[in-house]
Formats: sequence, structure tokens, C-alpha cells
Amino acid sequence: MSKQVHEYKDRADQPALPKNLESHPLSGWIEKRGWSWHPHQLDVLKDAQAGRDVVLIAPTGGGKTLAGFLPSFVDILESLPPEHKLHTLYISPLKALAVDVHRNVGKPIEDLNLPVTFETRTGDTPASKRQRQKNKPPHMLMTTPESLALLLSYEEAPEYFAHLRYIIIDEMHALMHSKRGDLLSLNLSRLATLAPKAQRIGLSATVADPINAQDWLSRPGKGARVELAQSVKPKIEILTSKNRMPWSGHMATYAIPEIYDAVSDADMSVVFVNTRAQAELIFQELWKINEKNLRIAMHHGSLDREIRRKVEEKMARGELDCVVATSSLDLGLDWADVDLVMQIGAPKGVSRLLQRIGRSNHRLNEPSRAILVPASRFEYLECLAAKAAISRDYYDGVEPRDGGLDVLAQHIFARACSGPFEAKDFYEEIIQVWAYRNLEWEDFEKTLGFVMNGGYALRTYERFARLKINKAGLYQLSDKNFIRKYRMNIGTIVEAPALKVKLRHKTLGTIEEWFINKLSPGDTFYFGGQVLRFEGLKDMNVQVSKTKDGTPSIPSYAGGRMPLSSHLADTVRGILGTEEEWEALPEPVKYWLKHQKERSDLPDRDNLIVESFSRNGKFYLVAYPFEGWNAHQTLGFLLMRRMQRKGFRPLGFIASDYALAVWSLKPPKNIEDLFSQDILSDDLEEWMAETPLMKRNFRTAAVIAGLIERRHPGQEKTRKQVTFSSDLIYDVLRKYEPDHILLQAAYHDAAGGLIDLHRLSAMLRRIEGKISYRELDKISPLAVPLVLQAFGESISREDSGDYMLEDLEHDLLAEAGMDDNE
Amino acid sequence: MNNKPTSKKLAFGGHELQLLPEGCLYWKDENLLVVSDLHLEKGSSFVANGVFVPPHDTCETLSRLNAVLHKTKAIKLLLLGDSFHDENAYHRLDEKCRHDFSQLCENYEIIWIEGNHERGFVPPGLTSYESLDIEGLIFRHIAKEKNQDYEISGHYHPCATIRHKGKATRKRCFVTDSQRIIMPAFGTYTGSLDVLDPAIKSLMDNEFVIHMSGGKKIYTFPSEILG
Repeated sequence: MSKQVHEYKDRADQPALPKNLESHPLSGWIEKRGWSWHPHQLDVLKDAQAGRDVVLIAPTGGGKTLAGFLPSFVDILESLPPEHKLHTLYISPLKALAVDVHRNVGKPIEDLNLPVTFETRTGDTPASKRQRQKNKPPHMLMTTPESLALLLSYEEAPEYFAHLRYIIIDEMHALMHSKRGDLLSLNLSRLATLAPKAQRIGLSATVADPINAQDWLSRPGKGARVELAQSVKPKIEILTSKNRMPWSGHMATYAIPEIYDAVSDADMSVVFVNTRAQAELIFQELWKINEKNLRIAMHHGSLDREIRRKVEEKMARGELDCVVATSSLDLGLDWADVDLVMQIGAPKGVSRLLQRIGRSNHRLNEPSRAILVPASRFEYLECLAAKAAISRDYYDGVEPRDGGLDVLAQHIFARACSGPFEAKDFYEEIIQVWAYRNLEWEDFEKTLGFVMNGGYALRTYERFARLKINKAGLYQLSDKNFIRKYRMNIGTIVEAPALKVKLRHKTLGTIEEWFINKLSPGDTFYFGGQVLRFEGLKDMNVQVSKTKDGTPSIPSYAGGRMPLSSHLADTVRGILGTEEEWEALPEPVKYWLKHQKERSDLPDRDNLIVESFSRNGKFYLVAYPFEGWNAHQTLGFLLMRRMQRKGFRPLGFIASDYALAVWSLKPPKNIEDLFSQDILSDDLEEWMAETPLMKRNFRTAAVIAGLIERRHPGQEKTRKQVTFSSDLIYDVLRKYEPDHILLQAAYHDAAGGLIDLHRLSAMLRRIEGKISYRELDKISPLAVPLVLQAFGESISREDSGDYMLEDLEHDLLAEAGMDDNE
Repeated sequence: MNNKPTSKKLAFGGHELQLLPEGCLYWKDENLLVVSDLHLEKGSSFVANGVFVPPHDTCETLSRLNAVLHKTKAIKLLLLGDSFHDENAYHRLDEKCRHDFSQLCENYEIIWIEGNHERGFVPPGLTSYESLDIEGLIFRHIAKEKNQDYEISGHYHPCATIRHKGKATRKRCFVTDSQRIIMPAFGTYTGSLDVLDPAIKSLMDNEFVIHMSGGKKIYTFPSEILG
């Protein structure tokens, strides 16, 4: 397979303009503005004109969007497509970005009066316009993966896409190796069949594995890649505060005065945080000391879309001094005016940090500026590791994964909506997709059966099958009414069930149902920058009122917790294990590590430190695997089960990104055995049956595959509506059909995500025979942050609610002066 | 530690009843097991809408029921209504489930109380009652608004949410006061309604009691600890 790679060390090696670009009106337009073509833009053009699918990997700025559209602009003027024929499809993960690109691409078209039509099409496009676009498409259409899926489900799709020449995929790194990416790439393979001449151009931020990005994008054997390195490295500092850096916690409020100073010094800053709770708190704290009356706003995913849009607009107009934001601002519009990015709390991953830093100062040859604010001593180590990785040009990111069967099921249904198909041909088309290249015919057949009639050879199920085989042997939809149903359920983004938050009639945003379930009327919490009082549920809305209370009674709700990346973990272990590296650490952190070394031992790249000590009559077992919160959480549950069986009477555990601690009534013995690899076979199966984590993954898969319908926020449950608890189905399937495709899909997702078996099993392999076990007479310095944290948020013995009921019963009996052994 | 599920004794209308963590009621003196809201073939009822919910619910419900019958050594089985999800459900039973169901009818003395979901359907060979008085306890599917009896009913699928130390758990439960017992639903695919919903709450005394089905035992709490 031939691959074209270009890399640029500096910008001097400017190739000559190809003939057809020299005379192109766009060149004149560029020149008029005092710009010139960048080499990487020309190389994208060259590769595209050679018939290749091209991925352009470049940092933000530098005319990436124009590079993506350039081949299209050249082709469209050379052989002007007929009116009302789609020539170029632009796909972005964000509606707002599609709108922005529509505006930017429109500028030269309008300035030069080019005979090119261009429009957006997203979920926000009015129905009448969408209808017209269906019959008379523009030459260039800016849209989202979901809208593309919808377009492909129409019977007219073959005609609609027949003249398509270019497909531009923006922010490709944010789509790859996710369910959304799976669906998009399946739809690209559909387009490859409908419009064999259509070439793909992917625009990506810098990624860890560029070759993989090329494989993901390209049709087999047709890929090329253009890479542009970051010419100027960002300037990154780690903030030092005059206040004491805390032992534990994630909130970084100790550094608020210094954060405020940095924000004041900058023209416009984005303060990135990791969770919504953090955003609310930092926002509050900044306003408390906002003597200069800076214009500080907040942006996170729970806030109402309208409120978020206003913040974005104000930012674009330069009417804000600072925005406190979560990952809801990770992607999106370019803000050249932002001159400072702050990261509060540990960065968790290098690539994500770099993309956040890249949100500022979009000029290629000026450094971006960023300040990292660790919230605890462990986080200081992580910040240092991230800084080192960036200076060494190291990237991490999402691991490549095989495509999900739930997404495949949705795609098969969509295919049926657009018309009859031959199973074998369709299978051949699907395995052209990188994520589905390993898909076995048997799994495809099973998924097809699932879409047809659930896969059950039962009379009732066959009678009502959604797909039937027609006389020509083709699969076809049995009832056109299913098309509407498919369209209601399109896409792979499945939000946790959420309810609208209403202050009288005004919608402030949405909150997950599980958080609301914890509240009783009268409880207060932070939301949208104010303290709100929960009044109760009314018509499935969360009714709140304003309150003057300064401190909310329910302080936080989690969400978007990213685990520490393997690479950062490895670097942190490296810093810990190498004393020379400690030079870069501030005194308190150094002191902390020195004491740990004297009193116990320090982790390094290979070993696993396990400590035990007793405290207040309980025995603590603390391990430091540094494998991220998800994997530690799983390990914690498994250790509890194992310790229970061995009679150590475990009581609870706590996990962080770095370590975990289990406490028990009896001293644990045979530590090597506890951490042996077979823990993944013995106890895992049993735990998986009951953990809410698996049930959450199952629900997502069941919604995507169309087994249960999605619930939109604020949507009232009606009797007619088929709502069904996916938990009930999960339990039944585990017992009766353990190989069901949706269980496969849920397991596949959990193993790499919430349960993180991949990392856990790699860790158990790594540490075999390398456990350094210390019996201590008291708590070690490294264990302090974890045990402190344990007071706040430990996890009890069982994952089910029974333990809680037991506890409540015990408390009530104690209150009544009885003990519960009656 | 004893790992066997344990029951909860409840004195009601001058009789001693047992609430089982499985969600059934056992009346030892009568050798009678009471279950409500099996909703057999609920899974297959969605098929006509093109929603292929896995069909194993009937099989699972009957097998759990058989396990309880076996454990309690009951002789009589009282089905407290909504035993089938709809009037056609019985005819959708696959071979195995139909066999399991007729075995049940052969091996036990079945008392069939009609529910609203079956719309008058009664399985062959059984007699249907709207309500039934056994030793002064009245069994009916839907609780009477004005109740002077000792009444045992189903229909509402009660569940309760307990909030404690910043966590919450929701489970099916029995709801009782001095004159009523409302049974939890036993069916595998049945959803539930919170006991604080006016539909349930308005039926009960001001001070009622919930008995939640835990895995191994019944947890009993006064209603005042809810929300």
C-alpha cells in the first residue's frame, strides 16, 4: 500500500504553485489579503489531485480549513457541476463549527462572486429548508455526522450523492475511535458505494499515531498524509501559590488569588476545568474576589444551550475577559484573541491538554501560553509529567478500537430504510471500514438478525419482523412506518437521563436524573453560577428557587471524569522513582517524597508498592498502581470480594487516579496472592453482573441499537410510549443469552472505558513478582491524600443498594437505643 | 453469617404472614403463597410495535416463582391479578413456558384473582374471582378507596427510594398499614411506582410502613424517612 507523507521542518521550502491554482481566482483573493499559499495546503491539493484520500495533521491555525476546501475549489471551477448537485460535503462534530465554516468559506465565494452555492444542514435547520435541500442540494453542504446519517437513510440518497467529489471531515481526532466515529465511517463506506469518485480529506489536530489516522480515514490503498509539526512550542508554567498546596482534593481553590492575578494580566483567558462541579466552584470563587470587575463567564454542558451560545458570542466579540469552561469548549470556533489558557486540576492526558492550549493564540509562529494549576501534590507530579511530554513532542490519546455492534445495528436499519439490499454486498462494503475490518460474517449475520426480529425464531417475533427477505432475495423493510422511528433515534450520543432545571418558567439547563434522586426538597446546590434550592419535581422538571445561602448542602455533582492516561502515569512513576527528577519540584512536594522514601518505598516504572498499616482499629491496605481511576475502581471492587472470601472482613475502599486503599477489620495476608492475575477470572464475572457501570454501558448500547427509545430531556413519560428499563433486560440477557450482541457491545465498551480491564490486566501482568510490600506501623506520607479523601467519598462493601439499607437500619436502631442483633 | 434469604413476620388481621425478600407473601397456616403482577409475556407484547424485547421474561418469572414455591413448600398459590400482561398473552406463550405454566396449575391449587390487564381472560381450567375472603383477609387486585377490611392487593407495583449519607437506592417494596398490604410486582419486566406517588400514598394511613426487597432480607422502614 503506498502512502504519501510530507513533513515540514520549516516553512521555507515553498513548492511552486500548480498551474491550475496559479490562475485560480482564489490565489488572487489570497494575495489581495497579503497572504500566500502554505506548503501543506499545496500538498493536500497535490495528493487530492492524484486521487488520494488525504489526512492533514496540523496544529490549530495555519489555514487548515482552507487546505481542506482547496481541492474542492479547484475542481469545482474546472468542471462546474450541474446546478443543484452536491459536490462537496463538509462534516464537523459541532453544529456551531459547521456554521462558522460556512461563514468563512462563504467569504471568498461572495467576494469573488463564484458560481458556487453553499449551505449548512444541522438539527437546527428549519424543516422547510431541509425539505428544499433534499430536492435541490447546494454544491457545498456543511453538516454533522448525524445529519449525514439522516440524508443517507432517504430512498433518494443514490441520486443525491451521485455527483459528490469531496468529503471534508473536520476535527477528525475528536471523532475517531468513538461510537460517533464508527457511525461516521460506516456512512463514509456507504458514500464510497454511492459516489465512488468522492475523495476524503480529514483535518486533524496532532495525534499520537498519524498512520492510524490515515488508515481510519482512507479507503484501503488510497491514503496519503500531510503532517505539519508545531513550529513553536507552547510556553507552559506550573502555578505556584503562596498558600499551602493541599494533600488531596480536585478543586484547587487554594490558588484562587493567583488564578485571579493571571486572569487579570491576560487580555482574554479561558480557564479549563475537568468537571462541571469544578467549573461552578472556580467561577464562584473568582467572582468573590473580582475587585476589578472583570467580565468572567462560565460554560459547561449542563447549562442551557441558549446560555452557552450567548457566552460563545460574547467571547467572539471580545466582550469577555475570562471564561471558566469544561470540555464543552474543547472543540469549536477559533479564538485568536485568547492569549492565556489555564488548566485547573491535573491535565489527565497530553493530547487533550495540547488541544486546550491550542485554543489560544492561533498564529503559527507565536507560542501559546498556558498555566497549569495542580489541585494537590499528586497532581503537581502529573502537571510536571505533562509539561515534560509536551517538550518532548509526545502525544497520547484515545486507543484505536474495533467498531461496536450496537452502531452496526443502527447502520443496518438505516440501510434498510434507504432501500432493499443484498446481505453479502453490504457486508463487503462494511468491512472496507477500518474499525470493522475484523468483523466476522457470523457477527454481521447475528446483528442483521437482531435488526430483523430481535434474532428470535419465535412465531410472534417473526410475524412482526422489521425486515423481510423479498422475492429477489434482498432484505427489505417490512413497513415504511419504521423509517420515522429510525429517524427519531439516529446517532450514537446517548445522554444519561436528564431533567430540565426550571426557575419558575425559565430553563437554566439540565441535570442528570441520578443526581436529582439524591436530593430532598430543601437541599441546595450550585448551578449556573448560583446556589439553588431544590423545591421538588413538577411535570418531570426540576423546580428550583434562588437562595441566599452561601454554601450549598449538596456540594457537587461529578461528570466527565477522565482517567489519567497511561503515558502520563508512566512518566509520573518515572519521576517518583528517579531522585534527580525531583529538582523541578517545589519544596513541599520534595519533602513529601523524601519522607515517603525514608518511611516506606517509592513506586517506579515497573514495580507495585503495597503498604499496610492499622489505624483506629482498622487495617488499611494501600496500593499505588497509577492506572487511572476507572481501573482502580474495578480493582477495588475485586479486592473487596477476594478479601471477603478470605475472611479479612473488608469494610470499604477508595480509589484515585494514582492509588487505592482498602480497609478491613482483620489484617490482610498473602498480599502477592491478592494481586494475582486470576482475580480477573474469579471475581470479575460476579461483580460485572451487578455493577451499575455495566448497566450504564448496556443502556447506551440498547439505545443506539434501537432496542429501547431514547428519552429527550423534559420529555414526559406517557403510557403509550414504549419505555423499558434496560436494567431488567440486562439481567435477563446475562442469564439467558450471555453472547447477545448488545452484551458484547456493552462489554467491549466497558473493558476499554469505565471498567478499564485492558489497563488493569496489563498492570497485573506487569507487576507479577514485582510487588514491594511494606508493613508499616503507621500511615505513610504517600497514603495521606488517599485516606483524607476517604472521609469524603468512600465506597461501601457492596455495589448494590443493600449495604446502604443495612447501614440505615443499623443507624435507626442505634438511634432508638437498640442493637441490631435483636 | 447466614446467607439464606430470611423473611419478615407481619401480624395482620389476626394472622401471621411472612413477607419474603423475593417479593411474595407466605401465609403458613394456610400453606398459601401470594404473588401479584406477574405480567407474563410482557416482553413479547412490544413486538407488534417493532420492538424486540428479549422474550425470556416469562420463563424467568416462572422459574423464580417455582423456586419460592419449592422453598416455602406451599400447597396453594394465589395469583393476585395481572398475571398475564394482556388478553392475548397466554396464546403467545412458547411451548416451554406453556408447559411450565400448566405444570404450575397441576402441582398447586391455583387461586386466580382477576386483574385489569387480562381484560377478563382466564386460563383454561381456572376459576376467576374478583375478590376473595380467606379467614377474614380480603384479596383483590386493586385496593378499594374506602376500605373497612383487612385487604391485600397489588396493581401499583410499589417501590421506594431511600436516601442516606449522600447516596440513594430504589427497590420494590411491600407497603403496609393497619388495614392494607400492597404487594410489589413479581414479574421480571415490571416497572414500579414510587410509594410517595399520590396514587399509592392516598390509599394509606398517614403512618404507613415500607418493606423493601433486599437480596437476602426485607428492610422495614417507617414512611416518614422517605423524601
